[in-house]
Amino acid sequence: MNSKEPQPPKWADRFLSWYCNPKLLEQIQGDVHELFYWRLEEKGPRKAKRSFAWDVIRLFRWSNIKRKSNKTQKLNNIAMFKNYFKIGLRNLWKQRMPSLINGLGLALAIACCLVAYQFSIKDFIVDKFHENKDQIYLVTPVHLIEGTPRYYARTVSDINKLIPENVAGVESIVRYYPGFGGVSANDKEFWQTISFVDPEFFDEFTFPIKLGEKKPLKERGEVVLSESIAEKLFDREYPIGKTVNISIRGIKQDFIISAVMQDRGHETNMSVDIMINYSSMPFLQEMIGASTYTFLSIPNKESVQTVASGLDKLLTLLPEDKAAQYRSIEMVPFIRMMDFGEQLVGTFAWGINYEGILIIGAIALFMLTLATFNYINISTVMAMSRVKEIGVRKVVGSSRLHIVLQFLTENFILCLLSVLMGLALAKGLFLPWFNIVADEYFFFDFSNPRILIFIVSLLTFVTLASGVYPAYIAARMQPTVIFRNAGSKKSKRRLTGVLLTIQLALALITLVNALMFIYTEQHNKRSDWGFERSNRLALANVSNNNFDILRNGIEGISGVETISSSYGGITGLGRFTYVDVNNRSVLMRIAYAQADYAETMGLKLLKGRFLDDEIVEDQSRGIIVNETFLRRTGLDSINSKIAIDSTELVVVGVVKDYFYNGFMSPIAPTIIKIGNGEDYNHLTIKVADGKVAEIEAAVNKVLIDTETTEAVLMPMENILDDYFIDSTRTQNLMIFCASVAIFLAAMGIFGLVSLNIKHNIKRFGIKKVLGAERKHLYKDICKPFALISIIAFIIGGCASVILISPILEMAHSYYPEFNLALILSGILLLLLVMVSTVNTQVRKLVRLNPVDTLRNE
Amino acid sequence: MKGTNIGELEELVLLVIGVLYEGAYGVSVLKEIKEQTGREVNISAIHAVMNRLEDKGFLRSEMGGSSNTRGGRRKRNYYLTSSGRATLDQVRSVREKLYNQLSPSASYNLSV
Repeated sequence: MNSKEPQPPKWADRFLSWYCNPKLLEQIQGDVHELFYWRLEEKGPRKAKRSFAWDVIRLFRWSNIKRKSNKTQKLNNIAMFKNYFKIGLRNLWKQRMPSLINGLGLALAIACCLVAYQFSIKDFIVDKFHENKDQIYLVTPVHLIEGTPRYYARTVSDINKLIPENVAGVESIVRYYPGFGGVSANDKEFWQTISFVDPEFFDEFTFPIKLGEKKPLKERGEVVLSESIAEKLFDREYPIGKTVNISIRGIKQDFIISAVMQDRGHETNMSVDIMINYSSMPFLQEMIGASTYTFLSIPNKESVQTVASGLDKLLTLLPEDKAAQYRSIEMVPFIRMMDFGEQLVGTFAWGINYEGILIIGAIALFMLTLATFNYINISTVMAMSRVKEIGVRKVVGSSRLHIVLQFLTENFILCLLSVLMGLALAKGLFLPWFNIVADEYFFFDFSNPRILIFIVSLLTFVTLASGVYPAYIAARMQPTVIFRNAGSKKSKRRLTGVLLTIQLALALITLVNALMFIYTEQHNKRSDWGFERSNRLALANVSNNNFDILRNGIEGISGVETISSSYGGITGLGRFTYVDVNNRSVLMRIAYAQADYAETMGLKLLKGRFLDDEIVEDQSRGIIVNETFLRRTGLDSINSKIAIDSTELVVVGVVKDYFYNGFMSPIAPTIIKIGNGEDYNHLTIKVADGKVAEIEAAVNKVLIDTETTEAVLMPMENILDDYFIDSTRTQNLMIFCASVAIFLAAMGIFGLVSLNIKHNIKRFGIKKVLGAERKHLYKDICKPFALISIIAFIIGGCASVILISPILEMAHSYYPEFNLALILSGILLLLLVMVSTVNTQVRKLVRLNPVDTLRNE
Repeated sequence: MKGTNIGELEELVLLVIGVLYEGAYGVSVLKEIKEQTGREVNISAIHAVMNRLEDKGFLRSEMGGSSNTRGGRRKRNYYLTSSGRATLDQVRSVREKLYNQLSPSASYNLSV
């Protein structure tokens, strides 16, 4: 049939066959069709189509409509679906290998999607399970820092003390202070986050209690453990009533376990491993006084306004010098803490990680696309081996819809299996792995309908996305064509080629991307950080009271050459401040340090000189700046003058840019200035050559002797470890992506090649009889892939040049130049994988005895 | 019991089927009416009328053979029965009788 010839509108024709009494259908349908073709010649296709539809609608009258629904037909339909399932299962079994490839690929992608889903929803569901969540508010004092109001998440005790008597409408006040401490019981001892809370904590926050009291912590000396901590301490023993020893800041005390709560994992931002009542340890009162999260419970919506104004009036009750620190006291709803994120200074809810969700979501979607492409390709070829079945069905009277339904049903079976496999894969392998890589605590909560809905919709989507095209191809086939020349399956399927090209190109992009990440990390590790890392130790976070004792102690160790104090991070992260440069305000970083800090750090001087304690001017006005400072301010010589809060400063030296914070964020314009000795809390120690380990041990001993617990000591070599841990994580993620993409591409090729061989096994047999050797067989099999690979490599190569820099930009601010060698090695690697994949099949073919394939006919 | 009186369209269809004699079915009747009278009647109306006439006993129908133009679908052929023919004759005689009694000046009165 010539498909170009206009046909009556399908919907109308179908509508007619649907409503029409079957006894009348033939004559009526015949009449309207005849009229259509008559009108086609007389009036043209548009009018003919319109009249056809109109006729059908006019014929929709009582006398023509079928009145009794045909029950036997419905029953028949159910039986038909049963048959579809049976045939589907048999087919899966018959074509085990390609089905397995399909299912496995899809399962991989589905597992990725499930992990991505768990990751993405985390930020939106976190701490949303508390029953009273809508009535809890966090008190946020507002400070005016350098002209801009900053909301603080923590409140000092001066304010907390005033709330009960001076603010009306508050039902209860719950304070929460996450801290650290040692835990020991049952001969086990470890460090753990310990939270100190008010007795009302469990009234307001509904953490599910698994064992013990429902509202614990009402009494002093009680402790609540999370399930995992309880298990860690007591294995499978019943923990309630047991004693746990907790030590905080050197003070030890016994606590009785009164309750164990379920692990909430990623569903809460609070540290709820171990919780004790504030009043259990007298010094806690004092300690938390400094700053604690203070929640107000306001059950009555109308009194929110009263509470807000009540809070604001507290300022007038504070002593004047304290009140001057605040601009106002406000509060924010607890459920909105994630929205504010780090806008609340010192918050424990870090805000919604849109960038991460975007990246992880994109990766999952990308995997799903690849797997679906694979699936479509292989199942289209699989459908081709069943043309006769389709032909018979069509001749017997199946409509296209029936065939499509059959193929979709069969597809559904495989997709269902894949989803189940994907679930197992995600739960058993991907999620635990992801938890390690991303340092998270995700778990699947199947009691929650949310994830079930997601799984069902994923199944539906996958079934349709992967099944519609093969089903359509199968349904389109004409029985006459099938039976006339059943032997030849020459029809070109361009889509298969296109999908394979896209797949290979994407695999190449991810591969080059992963290579680039590896290269960047290695490059950054080896490159010049701008400061000396050998023969230096860093001691961070020393509390002010024993700073001098400690420093003197370290100075006494033999082998220590110089020692320099600074404030604000080991590498002098310092504070950000606006500086006046030629009447222009520029935001920059100021590291306060001793005069010899820059020399001790081994910063490289480009112009001028280092600061000198001997020169009086340096004490108050001299500064050293970095290159970025010059670029940003436009100043270019030493002796330039700038001003902070109308204090004039003079540039005495310029140092090379140094990566004080890793390669993640851009280097800020930096000033190094002699600071106020009382503020110093970091030490940079330069030691004699090769004595780092020895002196590290000695300093550690000093730390123990002076009972300094918070301080962190590390060789300068490891100072950027935090950055590199992060960057290795990203790198691993990229390697994982590339592996899955390559694996999927290889499986796709494997499936196509094996099906190709299976369908043409006789041809290969004849070739072998005629003397074809290994290379001939190779050529025959690889030929269809040659052009596809070349196009894919060109597209993939170009796309990686364009795409990879923005991706790198997200993770690193500094990375090496993009390298053509990376693309080439990527192509080489991919080719290797492809060839070895094809090789497995060709080897089978080489070993094959042509007699076996040609014998039975 | 259906009445034996027939309407105007029914009369027309009955006549056309008589004229077509052997080859009368839905589409041919529709085309013939269009050719002879210029009237465009919808196929659904024709089907309805033919069904009604068959119920009244004026038409008889049977399924014919298949043809290419209709995608192999058979058509239902209609034939005039003797009672149909008699009805047509009766309608004609009634009409002629009345017509002959028409006064020649009847139409002038209307224009006054």
